[in-house]
Amino acid sequence: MAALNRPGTDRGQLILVTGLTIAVILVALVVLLNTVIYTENLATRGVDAGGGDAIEYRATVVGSVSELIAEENAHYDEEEPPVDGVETGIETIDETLSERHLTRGAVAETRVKDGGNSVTNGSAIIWQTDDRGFINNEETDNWTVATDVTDTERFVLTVDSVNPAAGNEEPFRLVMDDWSMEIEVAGENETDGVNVTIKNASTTAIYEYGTDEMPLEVDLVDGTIESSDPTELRTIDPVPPSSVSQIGYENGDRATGTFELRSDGTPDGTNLTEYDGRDGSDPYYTHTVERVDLVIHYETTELRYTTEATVEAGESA
Amino acid sequence: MSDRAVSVTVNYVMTITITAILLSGLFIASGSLIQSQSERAIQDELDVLGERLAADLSTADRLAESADGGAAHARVSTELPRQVAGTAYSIEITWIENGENGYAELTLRTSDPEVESATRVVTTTEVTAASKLSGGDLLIEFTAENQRLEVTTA
Repeated sequence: MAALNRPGTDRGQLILVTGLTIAVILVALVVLLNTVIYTENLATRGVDAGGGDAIEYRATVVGSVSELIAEENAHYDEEEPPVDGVETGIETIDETLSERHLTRGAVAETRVKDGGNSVTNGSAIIWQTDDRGFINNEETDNWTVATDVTDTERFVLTVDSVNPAAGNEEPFRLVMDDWSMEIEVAGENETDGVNVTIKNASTTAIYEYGTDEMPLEVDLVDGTIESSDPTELRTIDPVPPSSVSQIGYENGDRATGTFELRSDGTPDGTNLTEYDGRDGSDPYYTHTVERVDLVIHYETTELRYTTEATVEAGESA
Repeated sequence: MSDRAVSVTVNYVMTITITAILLSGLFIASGSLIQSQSERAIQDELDVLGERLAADLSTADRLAESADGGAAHARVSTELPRQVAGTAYSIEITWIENGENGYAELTLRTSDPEVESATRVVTTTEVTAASKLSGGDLLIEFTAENQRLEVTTA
């Protein structure tokens, strides 16, 4: 200590204190500069945490599923009815969009709520896959197809052949309340041609076709009969009613062919069975898709978004 | 002859005095400059942080709205620094209802130096938070059960 207290050894203390103080001031200025640079950086950085992408993803899913429902309901495949087609389609939409968002570092997932139980059935579709008589599953030739029909989108009968009547046998007949259509062989032989008789309570009209013009395609919504000859198109008069309490066939074993009905009525469960994926020739029915409940999930490092969305048939995307 | 060394002493004292006065002036001026610049830097940063929090609240509000009253769950993480210019700060969120909508008033504040920044963001969903949050990362969460945006510390 004696050495430190020698005269003249404390002369540098003022310079030392000054130096330290200036150093502190410089550090403080650096901290301030750092803060300013950080603030500038923060201020010019994007502020969206991914909310826009999440909402866009939701809108894309809802729009795609809406288009899917419309397409499946309009152009279903017999092997994959609309309900199955929509479920398969949603899986495809999910895979496609997931891959796209994964490249942006986001997890996007869409699934049907409650494992597929949230696909709500709409109007019934009834069809028969193979050519056969217009008879039901129990081989009964007089039977009801559907009841309480108020809106029919499509009803087409394709009649391939008609059996000649033996004795007093009644002809094949489609009955919709007091409107009916009978198709029978004009004479005693199959080669004698076919008469189509359409009548309601007050009017009766008969259309004649040659056997060589078979099959006849009767469109009951458009109200036309078209034979295999493309020039032979006739407008049905009287026109079939669009709303009926009962649609049924009588003497269905007297004609062979197929039919397709798309309506909002109630399929007669005693005569038709619901499609269950089997490969059968019996008439059966399935449903269009009315509504689908979805669970949509979107996740990034900054955002986690899960929502439920209901997409209804006919809803605009 | 006893005052022969006086001039050296006077010279020395005067040098010391003048140096001390000059340095004191430098220190005082520097301190004042740093203080004022520090306040400005803090003010700017609090403004920016308030805007970022407002943007994230707005994002969460849009996500909540997208469900249109249905089931939804949204969680947005907001990354904020713990300190601004080496000073801790607090965040106060008050939601004020105004007809169908409302707005959240975000007040970010430091105590030393005393700097305050207020930002408003209009939301359709109610915003709730603890009375005072410390600066740092936050979580904004919306659940279908609560139907409001809850801001908590991450």
